[in-house]
Amino acid sequence: MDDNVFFDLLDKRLKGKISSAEKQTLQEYIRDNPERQALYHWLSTSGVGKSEDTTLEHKFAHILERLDDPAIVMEQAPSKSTKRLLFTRTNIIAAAILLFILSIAFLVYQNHNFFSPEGLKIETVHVDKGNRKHIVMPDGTEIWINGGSTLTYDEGYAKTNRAINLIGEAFFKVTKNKELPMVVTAKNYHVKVLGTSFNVRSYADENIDETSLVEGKIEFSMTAAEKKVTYSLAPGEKLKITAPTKGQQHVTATAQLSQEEILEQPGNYILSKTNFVKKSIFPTPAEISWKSDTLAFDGEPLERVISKLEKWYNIPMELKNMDLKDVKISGTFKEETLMEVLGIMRMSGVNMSIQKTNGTLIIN
Amino acid sequence: MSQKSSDNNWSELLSAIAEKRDQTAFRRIFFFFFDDLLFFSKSITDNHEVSEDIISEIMIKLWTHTAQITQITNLKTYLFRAVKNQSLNFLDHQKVRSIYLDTPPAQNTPSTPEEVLISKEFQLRFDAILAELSPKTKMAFTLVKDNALTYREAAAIMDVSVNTIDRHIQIALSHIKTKIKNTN
Repeated sequence: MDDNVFFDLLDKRLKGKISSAEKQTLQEYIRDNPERQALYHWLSTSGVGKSEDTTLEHKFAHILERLDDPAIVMEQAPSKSTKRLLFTRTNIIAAAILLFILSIAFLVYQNHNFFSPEGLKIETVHVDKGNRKHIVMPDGTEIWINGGSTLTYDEGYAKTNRAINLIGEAFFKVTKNKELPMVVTAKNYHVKVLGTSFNVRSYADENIDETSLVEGKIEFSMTAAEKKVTYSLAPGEKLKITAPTKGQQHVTATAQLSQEEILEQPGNYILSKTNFVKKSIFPTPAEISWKSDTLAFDGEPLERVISKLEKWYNIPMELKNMDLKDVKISGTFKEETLMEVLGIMRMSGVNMSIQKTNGTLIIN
Repeated sequence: MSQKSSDNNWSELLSAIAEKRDQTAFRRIFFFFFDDLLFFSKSITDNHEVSEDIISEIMIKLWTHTAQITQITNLKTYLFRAVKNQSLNFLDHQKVRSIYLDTPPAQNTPSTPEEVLISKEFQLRFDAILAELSPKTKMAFTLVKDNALTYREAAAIMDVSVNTIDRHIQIALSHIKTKIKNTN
């Protein structure tokens, strides 16, 4: 069917001057042509996204705060000037203090269970193994949370603090705010940022933690054995924190890290730095591909690969044959089942057997 | 957006702001227009943060310039016009700055995983075709397609006649037509 007629009809539709008979004809034109269907769909769809109410609320609150700024002067006093007295600085502060006291009183009365040391209510986001979640915080910061992770913050978030506690793995795309730096706390260290994108992996059952910076700047600080160490990371850099493990000799741990730049060893922890972007062969570095639903390994030891698979598929796994634990694995997986992933690993030369006992996969 | 806007009597809300300092009225305007204005501004500046600042400034002006806002006859076109002017201003400054500092203009911010998932292969292609149009044609097309404005409203915002908007849309459509033909 004729392209010219089709485009004339589209033109009429955009103009809002299309008759119902012409609408019918347009439908016939697109029925058996996927490309025309796509074009019609694209033309009828607005690219404007719909913000979350909480996001808009936060942005609006920010504007109201700025209106209180003495630098912003009213151009002309409104006719009914008495009304304006409601919004004087002192009145607003007094009202805010009163509201604060009332809301604290209300919260204490309402809920005794979840409070931070400051008496603020604690919010918890938990994501089960096998799942992933994307959330938008009141300040516009976006967080992708990987399976088996828990994230907590108090209700002062975005108002008096931007403090987040993390157990597990999350990717943060932090909205800029110079007054309120974001501090992510995991185990015994903090990652402080103003506005940037980075990934933190810190599972309780893994002895190696990782902080990977995609853009911006972050400040890492850690206290171990009464010693405080601080590092700044540049984009593309990854900081690896290897905790001392029971029965494992410090020397072997150090040997594994031979290609990486060892920064410091506070207590029995080893801090080392690598460049995760440069050495990666994947379009998206393995450290952050999980947030686009892709499981990727970039020369990772089998022991850690199994720990990741366990959290990704929510199936308990156990590595029995310790000779295999340092075998390096590379590859990306998107829609494969766990059995397919293990099958591919075997075919590519990992000499292991897989056996299911009481719901746990035993790797030998 | 055009359908919803009839539910709101903007001049009533504006006089409530000017005379009663009504924050609820102010809030309603902000909530209603924020996403559309931000999208329109970003289509010009290509910079999310700058565009957010531009919207904030315009909203603050709405609250503080009480004498002026009672004169506004069409709030929608007023806001879009203000956003257009401020966004173009930013581009002008950018140009001057980049000539002096010899720095490349701001890069596209990387799209989030969500955006990648939502945008189908086709849509990406149409967006790419749209990006090849002249800035004015692209602006007219964005206002009509994405902000769902009438040709008359788009004309008022861009300070041109309704016929010119018509022409821009036809140029855009025929460009899409030739592009699609070439690839088939």
